[in-house]
Amino acid sequence: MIGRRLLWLLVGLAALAAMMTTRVSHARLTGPIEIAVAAGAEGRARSFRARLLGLATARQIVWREGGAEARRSTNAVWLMAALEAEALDETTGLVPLWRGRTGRLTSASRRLSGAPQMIAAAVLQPGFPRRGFAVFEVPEDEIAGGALILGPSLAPTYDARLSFAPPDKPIVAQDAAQLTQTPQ
Amino acid sequence: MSDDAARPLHRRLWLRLLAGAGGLAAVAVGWWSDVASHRRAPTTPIVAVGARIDAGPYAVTLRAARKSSRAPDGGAFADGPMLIVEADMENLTSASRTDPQIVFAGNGRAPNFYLPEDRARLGALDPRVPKRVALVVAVPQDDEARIAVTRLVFKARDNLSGAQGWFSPTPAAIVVLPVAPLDEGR
Repeated sequence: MIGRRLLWLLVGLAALAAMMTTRVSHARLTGPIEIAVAAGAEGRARSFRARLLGLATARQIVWREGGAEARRSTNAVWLMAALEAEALDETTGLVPLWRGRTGRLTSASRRLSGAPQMIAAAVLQPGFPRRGFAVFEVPEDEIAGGALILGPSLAPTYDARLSFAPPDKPIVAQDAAQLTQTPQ
Repeated sequence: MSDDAARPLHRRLWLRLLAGAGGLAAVAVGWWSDVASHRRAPTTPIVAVGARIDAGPYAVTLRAARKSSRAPDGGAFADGPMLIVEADMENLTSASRTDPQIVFAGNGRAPNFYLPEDRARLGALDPRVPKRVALVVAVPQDDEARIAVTRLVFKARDNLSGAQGWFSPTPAAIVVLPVAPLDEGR
């Protein structure tokens, strides 16, 4: 009798241990649902749609701020992604990330917070598609084999984010990129 | 007594133990406080200038300290000269981080943090892109500055959401830097 009870207790403990070790974390369960977007195609998430127009690299980023020229050089490479995005149902913002070849996630550079045409600073309104840049400061070997990630926030919960494959055409390398015009 | 004798031994023992629980607790607390008083407090190692310090998510190398009457962004300090400490920092994690100033949290009230190359505040450090940064602290009394470096500890699953993260700031090292005299130019 005792032996049988002990057996059931052990079975119960083993089942509990198994459940505890295989439990999926809350962050994983509620974390972003990634939608892969083919090169050149338009991606659609719950709250926005977007298209990756092209990629370019530069050694320096230049823009005009308050009548003076602002210039940002880098010990890595500036990677510029030209984007078109539109909110679908309600006003939203976008958080662009570059997932490099090694899997590292680089946020759009805060060093360019004063620059124009930044999609990270844009407020997207439904019905008004917008073009702009997401600019990342990344080591050069992180560019090939990377992907652009676009989501409604840095770590969206119960929501999707888009992962854009880079376009097939080669990446244009510039010495100094002027942030004056909206991307074509 | 006859009542007492009627009870089995383990019952009597249990009652006595329960009655003496306070005394036992006092003995245990006294013994543990004696053990604890003999423990040596961990000392923060003093690290040479120019040595790479592992601060958890960041690697930090302190380079130099100088007095200056202007902040690295060009603005003048309101209350006289301050100490500008230059350091090389690299983000070793797999994502951009916006909290590099946590590394110098042990140096008084929230030191200001700059990226001298931009003449601006430092907003974030991107992975694998090391930067020369500058932090501004109060000028020390003597001619050397003791800069404390704080380390964070990695936790693969935090208790709230199960995500990975860096927690528990602990002192990692102290760097003693010679202070260069006041420069007016920069």
